[in-house]
Amino acid sequence: MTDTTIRKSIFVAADPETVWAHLTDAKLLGTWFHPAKADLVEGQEFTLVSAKDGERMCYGSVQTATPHSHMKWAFSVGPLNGRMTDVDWHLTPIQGGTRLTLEHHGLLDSAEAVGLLYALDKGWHGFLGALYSQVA
Amino acid sequence: MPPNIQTGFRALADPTRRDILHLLAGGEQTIAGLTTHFDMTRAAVKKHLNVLSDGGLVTTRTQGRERLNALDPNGLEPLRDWIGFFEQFWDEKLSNLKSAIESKD
Repeated sequence: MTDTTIRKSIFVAADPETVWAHLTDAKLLGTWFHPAKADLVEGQEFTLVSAKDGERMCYGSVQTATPHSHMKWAFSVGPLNGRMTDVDWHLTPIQGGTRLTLEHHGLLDSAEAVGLLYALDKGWHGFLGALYSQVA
Repeated sequence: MPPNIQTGFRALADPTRRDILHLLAGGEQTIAGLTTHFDMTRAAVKKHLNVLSDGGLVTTRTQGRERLNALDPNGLEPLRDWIGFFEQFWDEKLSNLKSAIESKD
């Protein structure tokens, strides 16, 4: 079964409080993502805007926020054309810093669709292989 | 989402159409040939093939008196790129985040 969730983990040499601030503070979000119109607060919508011209880049809402450990966003960005997806942020204190994990769910309507995609891909190559061996 | 991706996903959203693609992955088939695998009319199969064709997943060619339907692997490409786009998107943001925090001290 193909997993359609994007999972990424990074180590940051700073405590969870600092990392948390960079995920929620309007100005600090601008240092790595896009500045927010306001600080991110549980239960509130948020908008990240272009630092250049103030145009809306990403938007969504903070579904849950458990300070310094977990935050869940409903999240949309330009190419999603208004479709909402889920983003989970997990912060875990480890020696010398924080492990930050991002999970982005709901990029595809159907996990089966992607499973099929890969299955077909293999099937097609198999088919081409058979064709070549017939021609050769 | 670009329209070709949307129609591609729509095409894949139906289990019968996925079955049709699996059959076509094994080689070209006529509508009549495909219909023998399903408990539905030839017209219903044709309708599914049209959706798959709109999604860029199936192409049709004429050979003599037959019309043969084939899986088009190029149609799968934009669907695969979709996940790739977000992989790259987050790689870039997370790398920015790490340097934004760590370069401060």
